[in-house]
Amino acid sequence: MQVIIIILLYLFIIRFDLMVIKKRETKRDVIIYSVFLGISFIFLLLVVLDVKIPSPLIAMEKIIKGK
Amino acid sequence: MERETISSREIIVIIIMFLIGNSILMGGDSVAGKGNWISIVLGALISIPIILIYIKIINDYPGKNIFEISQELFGKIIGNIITILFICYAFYLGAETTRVFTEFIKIVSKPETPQLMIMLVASVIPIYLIRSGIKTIGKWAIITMVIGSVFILITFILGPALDKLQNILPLIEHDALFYLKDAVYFFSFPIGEIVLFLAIADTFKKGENFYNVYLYGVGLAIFIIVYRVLRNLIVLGKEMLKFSVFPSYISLRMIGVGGFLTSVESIAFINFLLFGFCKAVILLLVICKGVKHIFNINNYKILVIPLCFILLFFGCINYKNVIQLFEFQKNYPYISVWFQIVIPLLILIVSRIKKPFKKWLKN
Repeated sequence: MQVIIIILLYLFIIRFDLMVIKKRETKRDVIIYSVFLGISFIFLLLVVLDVKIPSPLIAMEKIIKGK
Repeated sequence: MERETISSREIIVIIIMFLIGNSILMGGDSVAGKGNWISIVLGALISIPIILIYIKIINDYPGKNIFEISQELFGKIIGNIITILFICYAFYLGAETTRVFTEFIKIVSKPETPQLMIMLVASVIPIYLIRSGIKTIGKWAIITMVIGSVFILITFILGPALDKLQNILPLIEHDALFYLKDAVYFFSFPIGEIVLFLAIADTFKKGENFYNVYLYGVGLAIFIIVYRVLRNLIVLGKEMLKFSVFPSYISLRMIGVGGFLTSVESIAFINFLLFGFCKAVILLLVICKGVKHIFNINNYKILVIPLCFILLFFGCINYKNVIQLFEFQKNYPYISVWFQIVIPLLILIVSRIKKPFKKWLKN
């Protein structure tokens, strides 16, 4: 169910946000926007599919404690 | 793109809401127990020279944010590294804020709803506000501050039971060094976090008295936090406070006028929503401005949706649960010191050396 919600949400964003931005902004800005949108889509899909992703804070904690 | 500005009154309100942010629910209840308020006041005193550094940077470079300033001072490569570091810091704080936000909603009213879905629904407001511009954020902050203040006033009038006043006694339980250590922690969270206002300093009107802006902003925020800490301590007592994850919510649950007016905890819920949103909005704004600077984009507002969703992703994966979040908070001063003290100090020193040097070269 969550996967469907995410896909529908992104379809909505592409239709009502990306298309508007495409008309107003430069090609370069639209490409950067699209790349970030793609990254965020993959990230959110990973979360809803319950893929185990290590927290960056664990690495940070190890650096702080010098382990 | 036209430069957007906000008035000093709006900056004051945003600073107050940003500092209270998630600390209205979770912060300020540190290990000092009955002497929490002493640590807070000491933390505020420690913060004065650091805040002066921030103000001097703003005054030295009117109409510029920290990303532009660092690029001007250190060149493109080091400037971009500083920008990326600040983006990471804002991501870290943003992830923490959204996580506390959704954990609270989940615990209080929506235990079955997936965390990400709560985050997605809540993200509509920050996205809308940033798309509308900093002026809208300023006006929205003033309106929500009025509502929030009324609620704080209601909890003050209903007040904690005076017969429990002994809960704050003895006032001093530990030695000075203990309070000093706690004060350093309190400085790093939340006072020092206003370093991120340097990232939106390009929206401040030129020629304003920023000493007054920061004095009123930080001063009023400290006042509200001290009031909240004392209220929680009086109502809950030291032992119960130690085991409470969200002490403000629990203490307001216990406040009431006889059997007539009880369960005013929804006030904590609404206030947390209002102030928490403000913090999330500013952090997201900082991220957008940083990314805009790195990629040299015309309009930072277009990036708000993807960057907000990436922020939510970190909010989901950074911590397994709220206990882990509080545990990691102990490491926070080691991270924050770089952003709150080292980098701003470095910027100020280099700018003070470079400016006379440039003048001398011209002559």
